[in-house]
Amino acid sequence: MLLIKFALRNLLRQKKRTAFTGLTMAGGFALFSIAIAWADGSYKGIIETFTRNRLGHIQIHSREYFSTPSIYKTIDDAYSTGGLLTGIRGVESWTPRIFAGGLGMVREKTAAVEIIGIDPGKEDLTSNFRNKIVEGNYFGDENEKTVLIGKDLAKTISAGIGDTLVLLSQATDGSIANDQYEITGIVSFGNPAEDRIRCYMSIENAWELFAMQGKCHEIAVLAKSINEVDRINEEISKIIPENLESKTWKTFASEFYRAMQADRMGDMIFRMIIMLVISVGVFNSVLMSVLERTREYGLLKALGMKPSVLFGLIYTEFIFLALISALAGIIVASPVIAYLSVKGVTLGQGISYGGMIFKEMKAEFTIKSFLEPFLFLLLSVAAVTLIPALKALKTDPSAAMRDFG
Amino acid sequence: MKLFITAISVILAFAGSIKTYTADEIIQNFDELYRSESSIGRIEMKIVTPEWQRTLVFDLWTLGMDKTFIRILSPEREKNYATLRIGNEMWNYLPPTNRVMKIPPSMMLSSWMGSDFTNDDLVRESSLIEDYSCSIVEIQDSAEGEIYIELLPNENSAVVWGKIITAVRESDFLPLWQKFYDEDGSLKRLIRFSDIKKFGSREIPSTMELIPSDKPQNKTVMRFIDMEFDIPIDEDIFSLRNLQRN
Repeated sequence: MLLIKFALRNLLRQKKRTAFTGLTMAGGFALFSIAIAWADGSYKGIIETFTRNRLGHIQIHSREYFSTPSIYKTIDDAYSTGGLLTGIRGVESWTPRIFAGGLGMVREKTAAVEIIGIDPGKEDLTSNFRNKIVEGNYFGDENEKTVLIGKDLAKTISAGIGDTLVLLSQATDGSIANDQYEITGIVSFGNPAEDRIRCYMSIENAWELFAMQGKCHEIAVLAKSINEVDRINEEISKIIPENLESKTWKTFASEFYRAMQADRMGDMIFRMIIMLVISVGVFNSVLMSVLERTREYGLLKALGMKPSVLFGLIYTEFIFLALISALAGIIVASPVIAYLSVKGVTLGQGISYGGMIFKEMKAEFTIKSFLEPFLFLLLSVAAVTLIPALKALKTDPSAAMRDFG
Repeated sequence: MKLFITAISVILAFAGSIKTYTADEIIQNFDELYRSESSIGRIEMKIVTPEWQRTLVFDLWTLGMDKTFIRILSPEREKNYATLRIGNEMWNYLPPTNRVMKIPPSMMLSSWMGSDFTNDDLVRESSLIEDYSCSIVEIQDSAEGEIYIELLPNENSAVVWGKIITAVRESDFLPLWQKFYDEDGSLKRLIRFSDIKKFGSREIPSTMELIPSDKPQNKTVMRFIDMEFDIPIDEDIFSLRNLQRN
């Protein structure tokens, strides 16, 4: 208690310097907090957009489909397999998909297309598919021969709503898959690579076109929370048939995941550099403060103060300052993070990441945003105080009182 | 004297029973085996792959060497799909899209209806005897009663194969198998002939089994259910209009 009293008194002796040091610490803390919250929020937003709007958190395929996709590597009973997932806690929705390549023709114009068979209802629940429609309508009656095509594909083949699209491909029974469909909608994913080739039809039409009644190539699963994905994936792996496998987005979108991890690492290094610069400033303040009081330390030692107590006094002083600064940092950062997590920032034209365009970013309000800077601040203060504190310990009382009188 | 006459008779009779033949004659016989001025037939084609198998039944019309018309009867999913060949040109009719698609030259070596036979196999009107030089050869695993003919392409022949070995029965020259090699001498496919049947006055192997060497688990078995040769055929059958007629 006496140490705290001394420490507080010492801090108040040089109010301006203490205030500047504290401000540096509090400012660094607040910036660090906001940066973490912003990065976490942005990445979470990107992951959520990426998984919720397209791929799902977990995907189930026939074994080897993932490494070498083939129209023949199917999940034989799509809806029975999907039905198994409904008993797993944390599963929000699932949807079956069929994938095949082919040729699409409207009048005399032809383009390569990726034909995707979807369950309109389930797909909308899993990937907000309806929101991708930029023109026309979603699927109506499942028996109607209708398709939705990508925005850029529509341009390539000069197609519009109401046009007839002829599709040509190969069916799973070796026959020529061919039929004609009315284009009822134009979709856009914000990714030109997809918008240029995608053609969606109902799974019933895809079954008929590709002679694969009841089958699918993929079941995409959406978890209620991204934090539960690994547990849900483990449970799925246990209940699906042997010939199937399930993978999380970290595996089936590994490039995206790795790019994001590298990005996060870069972000972390950048934050560390900022904190390092702040630490140097704090180090300067601590050193100045100790050097200024060399005579005082010499006197205290001459009066019999134990070196450990002197060491503790210096540490208490600056850890105390760090705690006060952290509190100030939290007070400053909290409303900013709260605002950014609710309102976010609109990016105008948007930024492209992982082939998707993001137009708005938000921060995430979590304990981590404060805990990480707090620990970093304490550790850095402890580290930068060490040298001045050791210097104080080595103070020779007679020399100190003679030279710094 | 009587003994001498008897001996001469026996020798002459024996000499008469020895068949003399050349490789060209055997291949000429093979060339003409399935060829006629015209033909109508019903064929079953069973296609087997590791992923799927299906059986097509189709009717076939041919006129001379350069006109072929095929209309699929079953399975139901492919009913009324049709193929027309006139000379080196070929068209497919796809009923679901009601479209006639001309097969471009780049797709001539692609599979016909998923089988191991290529579009080129249907279109090709070449004659083995004209395009290849034939010679009787011995092979490693030769069998009793079989003759083996090696066919090497003539210098200016535009043909796909670098070499063909054809095995025929010595007794009637009916084919047993054919092996097709590429220019590097690698075996590319084997066709086995079996199930000899009489259609009208012709006796031909009614089953052909094609096994591609690069896909040993695949095979296409073509069986002639019914064939009539050299009968009158309406030329209109070989028209684009007829192609689209369901």
